Amino acid sequence: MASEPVRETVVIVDGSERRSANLRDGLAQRWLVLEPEPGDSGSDASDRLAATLDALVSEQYGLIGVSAGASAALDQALRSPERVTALILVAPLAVRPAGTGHTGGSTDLEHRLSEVQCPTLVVFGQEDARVAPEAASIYRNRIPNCNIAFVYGAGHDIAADRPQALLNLVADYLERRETFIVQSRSGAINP
Amino acid sequence: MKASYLGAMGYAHRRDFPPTWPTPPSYSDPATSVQSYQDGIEECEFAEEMGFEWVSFSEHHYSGRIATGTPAVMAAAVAERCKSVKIAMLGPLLPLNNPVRAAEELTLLDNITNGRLVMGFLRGTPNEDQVYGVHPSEGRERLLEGMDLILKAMTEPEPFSWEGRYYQYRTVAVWPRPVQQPFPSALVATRSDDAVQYAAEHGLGLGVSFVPWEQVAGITERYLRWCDEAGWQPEPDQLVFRGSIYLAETDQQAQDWFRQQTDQGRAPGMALRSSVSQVIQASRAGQDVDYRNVFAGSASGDIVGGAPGLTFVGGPDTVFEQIKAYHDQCGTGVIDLFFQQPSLTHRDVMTEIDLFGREVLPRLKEL
Repeated sequence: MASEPVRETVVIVDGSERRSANLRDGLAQRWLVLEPEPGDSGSDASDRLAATLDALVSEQYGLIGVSAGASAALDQALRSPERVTALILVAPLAVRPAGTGHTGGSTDLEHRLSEVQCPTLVVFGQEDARVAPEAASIYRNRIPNCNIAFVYGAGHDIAADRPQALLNLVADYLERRETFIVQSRSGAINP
Repeated sequence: MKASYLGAMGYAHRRDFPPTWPTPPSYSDPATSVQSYQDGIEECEFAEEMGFEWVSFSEHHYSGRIATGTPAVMAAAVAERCKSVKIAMLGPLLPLNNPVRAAEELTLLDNITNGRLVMGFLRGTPNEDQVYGVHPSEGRERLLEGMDLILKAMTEPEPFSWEGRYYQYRTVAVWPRPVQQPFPSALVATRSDDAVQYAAEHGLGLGVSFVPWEQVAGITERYLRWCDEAGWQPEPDQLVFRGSIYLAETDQQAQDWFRQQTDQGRAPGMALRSSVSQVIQASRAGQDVDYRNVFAGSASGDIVGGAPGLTFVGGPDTVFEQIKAYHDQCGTGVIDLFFQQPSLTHRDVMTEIDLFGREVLPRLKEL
């Protein structure tokens, strides 16, 4: 990873039981990383997050929501579309399709996915039993500019199972947005 | 019980090959090669006519003995000639291949056969590790990840990125979707516990090859226990055994032929220089190896057993009993048979298929 810092802020809303220190510390080498307390779920948490970001961040920022923190991050992207440059949802629990045994997500947020204006990456652990397999299609189909990614060998806690893979993926997306699908490394063996 | 014909597509003059691997391309005469593939396709057609219910293909490289380095190409050709048999790709060697490419080939085959595909995933024999420059110690993990990626590529309805340990693809959207939903009949060809367990946990069948039934029974017992723990029971078609066969009219004729082969030093199987073989095996096991004095491609050198010898030898009654043991002791539901022994001509193989179809197969189908 290049040592030259980029002057952009990245906000991590980590609602997982075990905070993703590897992700935070890894991104902090290149970005100014803020990690507000996620608080409880629900509109109060989203209001507090919005107030915190209004107070602390004056410019645009990339936004990452992890696990239960994805709902607040998604809500923030909808509230402040002019400020969120990229949205990354990691093992999100924001959308939990009915009839799949993975209920409990926000119907309102699910209906508003089409309003997300920034490039969005949604990352799933290949073996995540807490996220319905159908969820990937819902994000992909409803968010206008959305990529989905599966991390092999990871369950719900991707940061614990494949820390470097998650960091590389997230950093690549923060830097290149939707063009991250284009190979940027040379394949030459003996140039 | 069902029978499967392994479409090996062996080069007609394979009896002249040196016993080592790889076979130098200089041994391949185009006219002979063209005729060999036509003969091999004819054998598949005749096998179907005689009652074989599967035709299988296997990925082997740099040898005219099983001359299908790109088995999907061969399977596509045979699928147009054999209209009812299952087309069993047993299979792509996943550690060597791009799994997305494998998924594309497999779904296309499932489409052009209208859902007749059986796909088998395996690691390959040690010599194959030399072919595309994959580190032998990575084969096991590449197999496991490759299977996950292929099944994901066949079942995920939207384009996705894959962040694997060995594979990274930022856009995967395999087209066409398989005819068989959610994915074609699949098995894992293995004797290793981790891959057997993977098969059980993912609802996949089990393929075992070239070992005595006593050994297959132990593997199958563990597989069935893990299937039970995963809450399902495999169908007979999901227990496949591949063996090598020589069938004659009588036991005496078969034994005479086998003795003749042994006397002439034509033990079935491939061979590597022992030093190469030792390095691959050590490397697969993650051991330090001394790479000095190691080279491949020589037609001379020490001969070590690469593939095992014949599994089934005899007249019809004996061969039936030999195969029946796998059914009775291991639950084998499909027997996949390699007929093209190195010294046999196309005519010999056709005679064997005829004899097998008349004298052995009807009895197997009653099991």
